[in-house]
Amino acid sequence: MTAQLRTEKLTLSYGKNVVLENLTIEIPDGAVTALVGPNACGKSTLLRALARLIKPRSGAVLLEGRKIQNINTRMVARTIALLPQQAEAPAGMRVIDLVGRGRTPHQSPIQQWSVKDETIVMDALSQVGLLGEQDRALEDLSGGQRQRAWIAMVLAQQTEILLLDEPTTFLDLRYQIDALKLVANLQKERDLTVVMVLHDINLAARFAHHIVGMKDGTVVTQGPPKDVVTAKNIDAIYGLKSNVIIPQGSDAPHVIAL
Amino acid sequence: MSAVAIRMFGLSLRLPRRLVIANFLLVLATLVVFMTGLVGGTYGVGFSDLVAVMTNTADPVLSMVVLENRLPRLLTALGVGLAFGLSGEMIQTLLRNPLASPDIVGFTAGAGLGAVLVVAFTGATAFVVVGALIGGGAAATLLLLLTLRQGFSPAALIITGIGLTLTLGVVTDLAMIRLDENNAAGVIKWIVGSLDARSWADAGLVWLGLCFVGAMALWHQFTLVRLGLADDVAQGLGLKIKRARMTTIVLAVLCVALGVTAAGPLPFVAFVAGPIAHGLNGQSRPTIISAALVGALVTLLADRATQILPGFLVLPAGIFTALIGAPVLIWVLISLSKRRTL
Repeated sequence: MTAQLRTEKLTLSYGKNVVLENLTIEIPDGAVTALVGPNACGKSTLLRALARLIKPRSGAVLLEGRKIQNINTRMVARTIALLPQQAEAPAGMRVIDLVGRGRTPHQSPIQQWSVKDETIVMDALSQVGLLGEQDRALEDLSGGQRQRAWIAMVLAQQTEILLLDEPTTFLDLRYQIDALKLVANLQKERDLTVVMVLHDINLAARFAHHIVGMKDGTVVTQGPPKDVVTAKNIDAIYGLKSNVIIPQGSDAPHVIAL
Repeated sequence: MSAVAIRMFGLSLRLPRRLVIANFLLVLATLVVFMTGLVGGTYGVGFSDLVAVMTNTADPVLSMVVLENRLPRLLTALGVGLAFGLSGEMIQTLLRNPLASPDIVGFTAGAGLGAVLVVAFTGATAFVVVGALIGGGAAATLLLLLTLRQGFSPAALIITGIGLTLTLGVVTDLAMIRLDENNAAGVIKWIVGSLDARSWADAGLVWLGLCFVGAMALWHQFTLVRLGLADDVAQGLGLKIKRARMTTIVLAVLCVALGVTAAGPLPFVAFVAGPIAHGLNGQSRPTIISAALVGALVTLLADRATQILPGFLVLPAGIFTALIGAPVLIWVLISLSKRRTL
């Protein structure tokens, strides 16, 4: 049984500049995968390719065994939802409008707000704890609430796969944990396949089932957190000497830089 | 604030209450201004006279004033305003910036130049619409080519667009020099924008065009709304964004060409429509119906101004739309710089 989403000898480039070369990986179904690595290691580029936003130079991203480039954009959007990094909405946009946009791949110009759309949008709002706030403008929300509104948008898309590009950027520590706990709960509840790019290796170790460690466009190591997050691997990925401990009452390894 | 859901005849829509109320009031205001254009005036027409004209029992002079003079002029103003409002909202949404309206980034200047060149070289006004279309389309193409390397970034589009508007203005002036006096006077309309002496031909052209382009714009609104989000988000939602962008530009250029052909550039109508509309309806970009209605209202008001003001102030409508537009431009600049998104 192969994974629903995988890459095969994938090479990605921006112009002549090759960012990722000959990468073959499988994204585990029904689990949280974290892509980690230093800046410019190609993790965000890989995520964008998984979302069909970049055309591979060679190789392919395979969704259910088919080349993702050959699948209709709309059909891809019914299976994969993407939350880009620091996504911006037009000025004055309200929460309900944003979350409603998540229904796009299921809608048409004449069917823009079916009973089903409304039920799903309200459901998504309540799952992220924004029910009652739906008529507020996004810019009037706190950073944490705004991020939850965006998560509600991708939830309303009702896909099996969720791709998140640094969902914790610009959030206070409390809201970072808040957002990742929300993602973890939703993943469990809906048995989603989640791939997220994370800056913080410790958050990745705590919230992911599977970690892909990248450097210079190649995968250095991958596997469950306790196998990936070791002093040796941290040195290989980040070039950083560290101690890795397992804090009391936790099973997630924790990196302490030396 | 809440919304009503409309679900019937296989159609489903969510309409925020404030949007519905704002549109209703805009329609009402537009109708009122339209009616004030029909009655009164130097040839005192009353409401009873209008009824007489409609039932074909009025005296011939009165009928002529209403049917051949005022009605086509007002219908042209209404249609042109709707077209400019639509085009402004589409381009401002596409470029995610209120400063990026067709009259600021060069589409309108291109259409104006196209119209002037047709008159200059053929001496006839029959093909003006073709000239305006080609001119507007060429300006849009040129703008896209010039900003290709910057990936059509809004900042590049706006700065290049302003340059394009100024350059095309100079070329238009040069073309004017080629014209003899009579033609030059006739061409002023396509430089400043005017609603004087509009005929049924003008009204017919703009409304015929609007029937098609307006319907397509309404259908396209679904896509346009999503295009207003970031590119990656829109693509993630299943939009084919290259095609969506192209459609938006083509529809906007068609609207601009229609408006320019019938009334000349009418500066700032396309620009002010969106910001005023959102101020009224409390929605985010785009709301194309509200914007089109504001465009119509502004154009009709400018037309009224040309008619009502005392004789020594008789100026083309384009001057008045610019007078309405300038303060809105300043307001938009101030609010953008407050949000540091300029």
